[in-house]
Amino acid sequence: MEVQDLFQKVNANIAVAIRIHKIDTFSVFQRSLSSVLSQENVIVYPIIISQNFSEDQSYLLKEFCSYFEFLFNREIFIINYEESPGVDCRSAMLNVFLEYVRNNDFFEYFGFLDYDDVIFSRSYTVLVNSCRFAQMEVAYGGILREIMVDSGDNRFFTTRWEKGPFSLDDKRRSDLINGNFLPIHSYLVSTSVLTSSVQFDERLLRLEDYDFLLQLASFCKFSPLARKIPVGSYRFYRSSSVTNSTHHEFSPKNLDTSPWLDAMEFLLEKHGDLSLVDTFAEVHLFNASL
Amino acid sequence: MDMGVVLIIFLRAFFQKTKSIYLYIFSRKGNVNKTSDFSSQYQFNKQKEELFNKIKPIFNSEKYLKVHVDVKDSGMDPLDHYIKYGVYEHRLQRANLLDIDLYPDSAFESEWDLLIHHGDILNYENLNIKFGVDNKFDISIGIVIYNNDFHEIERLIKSINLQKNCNINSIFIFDCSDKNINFLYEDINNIADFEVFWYSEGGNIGFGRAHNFLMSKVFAVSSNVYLGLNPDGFLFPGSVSNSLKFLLDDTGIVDFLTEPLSHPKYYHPVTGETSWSSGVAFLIPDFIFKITGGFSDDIHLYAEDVDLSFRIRMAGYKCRTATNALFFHDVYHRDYNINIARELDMLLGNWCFLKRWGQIDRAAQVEARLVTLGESVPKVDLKVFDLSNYPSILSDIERSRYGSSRPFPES
Repeated sequence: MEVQDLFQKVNANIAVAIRIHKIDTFSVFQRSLSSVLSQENVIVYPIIISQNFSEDQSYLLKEFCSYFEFLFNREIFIINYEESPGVDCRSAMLNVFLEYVRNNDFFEYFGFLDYDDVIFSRSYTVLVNSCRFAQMEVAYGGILREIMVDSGDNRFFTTRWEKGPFSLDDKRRSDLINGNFLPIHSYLVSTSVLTSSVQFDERLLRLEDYDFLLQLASFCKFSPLARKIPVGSYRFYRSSSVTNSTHHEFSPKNLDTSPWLDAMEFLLEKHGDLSLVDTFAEVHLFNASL
Repeated sequence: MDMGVVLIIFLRAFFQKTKSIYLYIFSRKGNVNKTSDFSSQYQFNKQKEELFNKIKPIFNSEKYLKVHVDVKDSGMDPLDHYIKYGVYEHRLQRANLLDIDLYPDSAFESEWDLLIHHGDILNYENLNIKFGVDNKFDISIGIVIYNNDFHEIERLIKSINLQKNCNINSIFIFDCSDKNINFLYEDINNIADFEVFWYSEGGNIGFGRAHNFLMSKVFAVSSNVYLGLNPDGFLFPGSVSNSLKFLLDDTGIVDFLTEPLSHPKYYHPVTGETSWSSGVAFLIPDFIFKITGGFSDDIHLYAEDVDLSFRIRMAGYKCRTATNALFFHDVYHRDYNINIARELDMLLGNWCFLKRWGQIDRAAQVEARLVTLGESVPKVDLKVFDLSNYPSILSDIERSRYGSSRPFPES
């Protein structure tokens, strides 16, 4: 098998969750949404989950999405998750999505994308092929890092791209317990593994995606065939209201990191005895050049 | 001792003294020089003080020491180290502590310069730029298709239909397909909210020639701006009206930002000024077409947009990137299965460009690559530009991406 084979046409129905927390982020969100809808070969169904949007806000979101629905002849499904104001329901929002996927046999794969990140147009083709060639349930690819600047008037400038920071070189599956090197949009999962016990942990207010990945890693096979192909971009926004995680150089200097530390402690306790296969041993099953 | 001898002795002593005085003056002159050095030193210290004041609020000692372990081991105060030594060693950039990304890589030679200008670039008030008004433009759109899929063109046309706050007159399409397309022209006409005009010469006449043909048609009617769009992309909401704001009186071409990855060429984040504009999605006013004649007939495919941009600059006009006009055009994975025909086209386009702009050595390298692929360069009489009066253009052409650029991960 050659790398080019991962780009060959494939048929698959894929559900992708995009969480959106704030109404004033359309200039960022439109890039994320369009990157999902523009996937070649496969058919992707974006499912947008908003949090506590008012009736007016939901209407605005629907109107905004209608632009892309019209372009792509595709209905965009929107779920507004309502919870008491101030309650962080990030995990619950994604569980609503998982429930939706479970109830629709139509979907063969599912994935996630944050409203401020993007994937490239042929990424899901690559990841589906990766799953199928390897006959494994999860496929992952590389992620680029993109540094963006907000000029203050909702114009975002890409100033730099880098490979990483989530380097997959020399990583073993067991390394996942030491740190997450697979961001939420870097992998695609077969719906065949979506049992009722596969859930986002609603006790977690941070690192819920990491916890979810560790669950998958405990019983799924991960295809490494696309490990050297960047499938998306993780966007870091500086000087803007768009927030990023805490462990990079652009996080605010006075950011309270304790929620992340608490979450990490929780994860270590929860997954401490996790029996991960010691390597992504599957790598060695395939051509080393991949 | 007679008076004569006394006089001689006196004079000798005098001259001896005078010599000493001269020597003294000479050595004082040396000191004067040293005083001048002192003055420089004073200036230098003042500069350091300014640097200190500038850097102090943004300096992060912890990160500096984390990256520069040698400084940590030396026990020096990190800020002292930076002021004394680090600034010459580009230590902030190396530690990723300085936002160098907003600047073109050609603009500054040292961190001194970067620091002096730090924070200036996004200051709108200092720029005095007055963005244009869009309602004075009548636009027609030109699209060159080549064996495209119906759905691609359908999507693009729909995105044109949805543009607001701009006067779009018509759509002109040149069909360069060399095989049967899977749709009828009428199918597209039925989607468009505008009148669509179709042209074809039964084959691929080249990107530039086809656009030139369309521009000549567009400018012959009422439109004064041509919007060229690639068929395999689409416009984001409000893109066209946003792009028109960058079409100032001094501007010859405006390109759009592409999503999900924009081209790594440098553009000024506020004014959008850039070394050349891409042909993926671009605006050209009628008078520029008259001045330049549009794209070069010598270049069949690829690099014709860079060529036109430099000719526009030679004519005294600017190239800009409309920093809030987005056009979706994803080619990131294309190189994974790039075919030989496309590579040949790219090499030939580049060879023509390099020859025209006097880059003989680089053209020879491209020619060598073509030969290894079993291709030879065309025997054409290429016009070669004299850039002796255009140092900034020459400097850009000599750069690897024909202008300042930003780091970009090659696929």
